[in-house]
Amino acid sequence: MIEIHLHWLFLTLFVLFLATYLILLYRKDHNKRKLIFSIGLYIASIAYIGLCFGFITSKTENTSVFWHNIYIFSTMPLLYSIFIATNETFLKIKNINKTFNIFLLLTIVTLILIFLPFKITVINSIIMQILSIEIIVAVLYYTYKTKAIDNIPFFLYIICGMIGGLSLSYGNDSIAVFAFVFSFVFLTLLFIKERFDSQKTSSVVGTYFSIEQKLKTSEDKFKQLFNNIPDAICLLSEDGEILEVNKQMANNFNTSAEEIIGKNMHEILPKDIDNERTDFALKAFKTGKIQENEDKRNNMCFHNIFIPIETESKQKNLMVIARDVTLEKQMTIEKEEKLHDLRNTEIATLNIMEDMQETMQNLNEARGEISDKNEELKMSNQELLIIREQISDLNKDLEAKVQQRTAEIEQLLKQKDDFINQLGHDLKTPITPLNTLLPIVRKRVKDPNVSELLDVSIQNVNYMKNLIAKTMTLARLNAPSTTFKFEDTNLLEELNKILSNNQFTFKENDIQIENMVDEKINVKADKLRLDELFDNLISNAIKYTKGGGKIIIDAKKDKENIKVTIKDTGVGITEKQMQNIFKEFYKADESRHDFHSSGLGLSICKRIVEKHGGKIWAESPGKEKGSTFYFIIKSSDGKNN
Amino acid sequence: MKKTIMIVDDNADVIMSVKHGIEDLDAGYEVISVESGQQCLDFLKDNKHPDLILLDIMMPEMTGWETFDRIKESNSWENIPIVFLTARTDRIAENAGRFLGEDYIEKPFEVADLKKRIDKVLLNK
Repeated sequence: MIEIHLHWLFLTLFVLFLATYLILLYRKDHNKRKLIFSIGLYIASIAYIGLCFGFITSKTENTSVFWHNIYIFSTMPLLYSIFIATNETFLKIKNINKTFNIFLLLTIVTLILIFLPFKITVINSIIMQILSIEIIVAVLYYTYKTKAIDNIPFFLYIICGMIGGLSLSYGNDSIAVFAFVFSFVFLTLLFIKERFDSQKTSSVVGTYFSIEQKLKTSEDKFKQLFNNIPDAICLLSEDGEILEVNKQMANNFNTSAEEIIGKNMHEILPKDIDNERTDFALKAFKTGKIQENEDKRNNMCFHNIFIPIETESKQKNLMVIARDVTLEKQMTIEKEEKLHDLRNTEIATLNIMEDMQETMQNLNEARGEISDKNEELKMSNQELLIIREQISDLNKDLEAKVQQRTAEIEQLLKQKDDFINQLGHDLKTPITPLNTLLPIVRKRVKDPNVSELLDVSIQNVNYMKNLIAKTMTLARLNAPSTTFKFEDTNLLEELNKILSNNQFTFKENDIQIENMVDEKINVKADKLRLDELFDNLISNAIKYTKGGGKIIIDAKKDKENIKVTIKDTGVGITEKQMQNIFKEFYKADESRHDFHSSGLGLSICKRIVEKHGGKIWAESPGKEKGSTFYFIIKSSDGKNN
Repeated sequence: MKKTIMIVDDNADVIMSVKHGIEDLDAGYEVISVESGQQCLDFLKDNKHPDLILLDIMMPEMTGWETFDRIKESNSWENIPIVFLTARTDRIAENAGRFLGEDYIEKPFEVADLKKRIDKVLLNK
């Protein structure tokens, strides 16, 4: 049968309640310190359970070894926690995790010791006493220092605890219970006070917890800030121990903050980077000034800042901020490139502008030149106008003069024509009686001497008659007032006229005529002149061909022209004569007697042919070898008029 | 019956040439002469018409043209054939001779030629 000591039950429940309360508080704010206390309380409650159920009594000989040990050691964790709490505040222990770990370690060791087969009273007592005394001293010292009485409950807890312990060992359970209850009441007060008045408390625990709270709040704030900064930040100790890292830095190492805090940076970083960074770190420490460098790896660029920090306790730490500046770098590069392009464009634009300026200048110069030239041109123009007027006047002048001259010339020509006509008339008139009467006289004269005289006279009259006639003809041909009437003329018809006119002479001179002209040949000619032409040529042929000779007349078509040939077997023409035969008044044979040659015949022929737009010439193999006269005139397709 | 040929010329020597020239030929022509256009017209008024008139052009007072016109104006004389006898050698004379009169002859003339032309004109008549 298990007897239940109610007073111990009450204490147990109270302790359990407190422990649970602390657990709840811990769950709220994750304050490990609360956890430590609650664990301590839970373990302590084991002892009270033992006392409650009578496993543990004040009479040590009745208690089993196991339960005795439990009793001894179960209050240790709580003592540890108080010890930690008080000394932590003084020692300013930063890392609660570490402290928690130590606490757990101690607790476990203590629990192990419970299973020792013998009752360990002495060691426990010593440890307990030492701890208790130390706690008391610490609290008193802290109270003295801060002059705060909030720590007194803590102090009282210890005292009551001691009293309770002592009472228990002396077998006085009720006092023990009282003492323990009071001790836990004081502890509770601390927690309650801390809960409601964490700001103002200056008790060791309170302060501990309020500072805790403040720290927690600020730590939370800090953690929030710290972990949300996109830059990777870490805090290193002088020898490279990682004191703090933010989330970004932990991510950079593909790990979590908890994992690498406490490790050494030298071990984590790759060798080459580590060396480089260490240099910078050392430099920072040495110079006390912020160092910066840049890391480039894996297509990423990091800008690292090494900030040496000296803590209040003269501890040298290093804050390293590593910023991913890859994008920035890229953008910078792009910007640089763009700037470069811009620069180039700028230069190009400047060049273009320069060119344009030059061009503008040139244009202006050109414009100036053009303007000058314009002026010059204007002046030239004016001068030209003046000159033009002058020329115009001159022209008028000249025209007047030309007209005058022309009039004069025309007048002269008319005078000449009139003169010639008059002269002709005046010469012909006296010749007429001579020409008519002398032959009549000659006919009637019997005396040969007289007839000889008359013959001479008649010859000379004939000569004069011929000369006058030919001269008149030539003059008429040369006169500009003379008109030619070009008609379609049948060549053979006109030729036959002339031949029939001369047939008597042919007979007289025993000259044979060969007429080979085709009847179909038509020419564009002035009939009268054509007759004259033939007449002259035939007369010449007769004159210069001896008796028994031949005259051959032919005509050939040569494209648009007709080439007429008059060939004789007469005296021929020498080279020297050839040069002169067409000249006026030239006679080939000066010594001829019949006085029919005026020297004008061929000149007349030449003029006639030229007026017809043709050509006339002669050929002869030489003296006594006959001559051939050629002339060309335009043929016509029309029929005879 | 002899045909009458009248020669109108201001030059006596020319008249003489014509007269002798034609009569020498014994062609059966009788030659009468006057020395001016006016004389010609007067003659025609009073006397029988000649069969042919040889008319000189270049005459003082009344030229051959005038004389010609006057003759042709008259109803009674217009049918008398007129042959121009001239020393003029220009186209005008030529055309005039051809188109106005029956013919024209240039001085100096060959008698034979003169006769031939006279024959021609009188035969055509």
